[in-house]
Amino acid sequence: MRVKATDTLSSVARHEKTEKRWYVARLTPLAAFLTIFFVAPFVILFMYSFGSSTIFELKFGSNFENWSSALTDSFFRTLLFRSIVNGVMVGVISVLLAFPFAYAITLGPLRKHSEFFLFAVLISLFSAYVVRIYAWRTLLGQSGIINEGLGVVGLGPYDWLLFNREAVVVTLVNVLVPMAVLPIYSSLAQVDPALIEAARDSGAGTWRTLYSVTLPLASRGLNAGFALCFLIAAGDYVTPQFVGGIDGQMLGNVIAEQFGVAFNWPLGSALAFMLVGAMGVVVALWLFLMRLLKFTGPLR
Amino acid sequence: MVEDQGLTAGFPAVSVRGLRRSFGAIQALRGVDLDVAAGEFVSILGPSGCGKTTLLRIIGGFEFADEGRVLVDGNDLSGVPAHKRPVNTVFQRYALFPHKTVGENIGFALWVARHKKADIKARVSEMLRLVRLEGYEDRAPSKLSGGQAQRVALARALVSHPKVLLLDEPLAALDLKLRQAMHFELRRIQAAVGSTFIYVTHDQEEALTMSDRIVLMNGGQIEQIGSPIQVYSNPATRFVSEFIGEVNLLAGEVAVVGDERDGSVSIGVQSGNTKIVVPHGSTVDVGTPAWTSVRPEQMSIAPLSTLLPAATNRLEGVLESSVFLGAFIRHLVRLRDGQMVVVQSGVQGQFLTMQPSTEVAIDWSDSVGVLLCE
Amino acid sequence: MSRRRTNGVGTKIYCFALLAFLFAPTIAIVVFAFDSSGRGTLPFESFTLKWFRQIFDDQVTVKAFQTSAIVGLTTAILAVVIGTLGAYAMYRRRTRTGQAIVAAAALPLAFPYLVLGISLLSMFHALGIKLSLMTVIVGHLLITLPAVLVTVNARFATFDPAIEEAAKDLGASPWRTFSAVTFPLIRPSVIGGGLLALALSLEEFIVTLFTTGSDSTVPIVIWGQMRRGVSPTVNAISTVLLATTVLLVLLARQLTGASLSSKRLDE
Repeated sequence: MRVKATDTLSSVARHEKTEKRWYVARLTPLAAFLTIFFVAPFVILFMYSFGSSTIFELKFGSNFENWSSALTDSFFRTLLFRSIVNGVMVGVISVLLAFPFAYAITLGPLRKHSEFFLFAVLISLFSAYVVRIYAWRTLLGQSGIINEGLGVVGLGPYDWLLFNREAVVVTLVNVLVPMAVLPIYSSLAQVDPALIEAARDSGAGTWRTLYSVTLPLASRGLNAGFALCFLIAAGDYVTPQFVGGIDGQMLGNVIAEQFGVAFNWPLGSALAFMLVGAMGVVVALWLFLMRLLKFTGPLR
Repeated sequence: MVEDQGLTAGFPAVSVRGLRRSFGAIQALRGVDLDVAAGEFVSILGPSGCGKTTLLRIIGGFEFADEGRVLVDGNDLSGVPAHKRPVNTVFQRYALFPHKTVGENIGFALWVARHKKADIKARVSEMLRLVRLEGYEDRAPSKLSGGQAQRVALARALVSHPKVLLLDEPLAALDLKLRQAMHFELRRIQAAVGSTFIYVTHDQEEALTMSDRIVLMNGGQIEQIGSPIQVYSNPATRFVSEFIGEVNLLAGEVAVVGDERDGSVSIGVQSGNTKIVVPHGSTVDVGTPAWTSVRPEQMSIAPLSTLLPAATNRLEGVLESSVFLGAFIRHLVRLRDGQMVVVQSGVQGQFLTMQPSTEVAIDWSDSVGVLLCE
Repeated sequence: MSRRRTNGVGTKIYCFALLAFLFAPTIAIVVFAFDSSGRGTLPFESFTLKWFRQIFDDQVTVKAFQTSAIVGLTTAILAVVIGTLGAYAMYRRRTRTGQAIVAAAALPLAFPYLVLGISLLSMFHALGIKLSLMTVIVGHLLITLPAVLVTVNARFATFDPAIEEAAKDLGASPWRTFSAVTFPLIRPSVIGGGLLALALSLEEFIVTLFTTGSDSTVPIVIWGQMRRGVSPTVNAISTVLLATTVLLVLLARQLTGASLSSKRLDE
C-alpha cells in the first residue's frame, strides 16, 4: 500500500479529529435528550411559577403572587413541614433498618449468601409501587389481615392503623428500605474485612469498631441511602392519598391537585420548587451533620 | 543518532526517525532512530519505563508520536491508523476474542478482509500446523492453557502474512521452562514465515537467546544496538554493561594513554593505588573518570597465600562469601578500598574450600575489559 | 468467639424478618388474587383463577396491558441505544464533560417523580405538544436511562482494552471492531440493562400519570380501581404485573452476572 510521505503532524491531527467526531456522535443523543427533556422542562416549569392562570388559559408573566402565597400561607407551610418531617423519618428509619442487613450480608454472618439476599432485596425493589400502596391499605384496614389476625386472639379491630401519618411512614419505609440497602451494601462491600479485624485485634469493642471504623467507611452509602429515601418520601403524594387520610396529607398532594382539578399550575410550580429547595437544604444539613459527627469517609 | 552495529545490507523493513513522545511531564521517548532489516529478529530490551512499549505501540499504530516518523518498507505510516498498517501485534496477555473459537480468532484478519471461506479455512489450518496446535480450530479460548493461548495469538497475528510482527513481552505470563521452550519455537516460526519480528522484553536472557540484534533502551533513548555478542562483549555504556549479564564496574581515572601495547589505556583504580590495563581504541584524555567493565567469568580468583606471578591485572581483597550454583561458583570479594566484586569460578576443589575472610587476589588478562567513560 | 456466634443468630433472624417485612404486602396481594371471595383479605375462601380470567373480559384492562407493553418495549429499546452509545463513548474517550453528562443522567432520580411529571407536562403544554404515548415514553426514558448506563458501564469497567486493539491491529475498522468484537461481548449487559429498563417502565406510575393523554398503563388501571374501592380483579392484575417484573429482573440478573450487585445508586 503506497502512502505518500505526508506531513506527520497533520495526519496525526486528522486522526485525532476523527476520533473526536466519533466520540461526539456517540455522546450527543444522551446529552441532547437530557437537555431537551430534563433541563428544559425544569426551566419552563420555573417560568410558570411566575405566571397566572384562569379557567380558560394559562400564561407566563412576572407575577410573584404564587411565590408569596407558597412561602407565607400557613397551610402550605404546615404541609411543607409535615412532608419534610415525614421524609426525614422515612429516611432515618430506612437507613437504620437497612444498615444491619447490609452489614450482615457483607461483613457479617451472612456474607457467604450475599447474592441471594441482595437479589431478594432487588426483587422487592421492583415490586410495583402502586401495588404496595394498595397492599398496605388493605393490610391496615378494618377488615385487613392485621385486624383479622388480631381478631383471632380477641383484639381489635383498630381503626387507627390506617389513614394517618403513621400509615404513610410505614408504607413508605416498606417501599424504600431496599433503596437504602443498595448504596449501603455497595459501600460496605468495598470495605476490607481486614480493617475490622485489625480494629478488633487492637482491643476495640463491637460498638467502638462500628463507630470509628465501619460507619465512616460506609458513610458514602449511608448518605446516598438517606438522600434517596428522603427525597422520594418527602415528595410523595400517592401514598398519602391512599393511606394518609386527612391528617396524613403532604405537600405533594396539593401540588398534584394544582396540576389536576385545581388547574393552578403557577401555584403548583412555586410549591414544587419550594419543596425541592427545602429538600436540598435538608440533605445539605444531613451531610453537615455527618461531618460533624466525624462520619466522613475516605478522602475523595 | 546511535551508530548502528552490524546492520545487514538491505532495505529496512521498519524505520523510525526522531520519535518523541511525552505523557504530560514524562518523556517516554526522547528522539529514537532505528532501522530494522527485513527478516530480522530484533529485540528491544530495557527496564520498565524505558519507553520500549511506547515505541512498539507507535510502530503498531495504537499511539502516535509527538514528533518523528515511522516508515514500513519505505512508506510513511506516521498518521495511518492501526487497522490500515501491514503490521500485526502479539499482545502481552494475548487478547484473544473470548466469544470466538480458536479458528475464528486466527482467521479474523482474513475474515475482515473478506476472503473466501474456503481460503480462510485453509490458511487457518496452515497456521495451526505452524504453531503445532493442529485440530484446535473449534476450541474456546477460555479452555486453552497459557502456552496454547500464546501460540493462538501468534497464529492470529501471522495469518495475513504481515511484513512486520510486533511482540509485546508475550512470554511474560509463562513459567520458566515453557518460556525457554517458546524461545526456540518463536525462532523456528519466524524462520518459517520470514517476517520481521520486533520483540519487546525486559528479560536479557530472552533477548540474548533469540535476537539477531538487540536494541537497548533506557530512559526513552537507545543506548546501543548490536548483535548479542557485541552488546555483551563491547557494551557502549555503563547501563548496557550492567543490564546484560552480570558485570563488575571498577571506578577509576585515566592514568596513562597509549601504553607500549598499542590500543590500550592504563587506568588508576583503587583510589589510584593500583593500575590496570584496559584495551581501548579511541583517544581519551588523562585524568578522565572512567569505569572499567569486566565480566565475573573473565576473572580468576586465588588465595594470596598461593600467589602465582601476576598475569597482568591484579587486585587484592578479602573473600566475603561463595555461593555454589551447580555449574559454577560465585565469589563475592571486597577489595581493599571497599568496592565489591563478583568472580565466577569453576567447581574444582580449590574453589570449594576457600573460606570467607581469606585474603585473595583477583586476576584478569589485559586484553579483556571494556572502558566506559561517563 | 462464642459471643460472635450468638450475634450471628440474632443478626440472621433480623435479616429474615426484614425480608418478611418487605415481602409481606406483596405476598398478601398475590395470595388473595386466588381467593374466590374477592375481598382481598382474610379469611381465604377457596382457590380460584376466575379473577385472572376476568381480566381479559375488561377491554380497558386489556388495552392497558397492550399499552404498557408497547411503551415498555419502546422505552427499553431507546434507553438501550442511547445509553449504550453514551457508555461506549465514555469507555473510548474519558473526558470530564462526558463524565458530567453521564452523571447528569442519574440526576432525575434525585427529584420526586411528581416534580419530573409536572415539569414535563408544563413543557409539553407550553410548546403545544399533545400528550400521547410518545410523551409517556419520554418520561420513562428519564427514569430508565440511569439503569442502563450503570449496567453497561459496569461491563465496560471490566472490558480488556487490548481486545479492541487486537481487532484494529488485524484490520477491523472502528465500526467493524464494534459490531464484530465489542458489541457481542457487551451484549448480555446491554440486554440486561434493557430488561431492567422494561421492568422499570412497566411499573412506572407517577410520571406516567402526568404525561399520558387518554392512554392508560397497567399501574394506572390499578390506581383507578383502587380509587373506586376494593376491586376483586386488582389483586389479579397486580399479580400479573409483579410476576412480569420479577421475571424480567431474574433474566436481567442472569445476563449481567454479578454486576447488578454492584449497582451504585449514588447521588
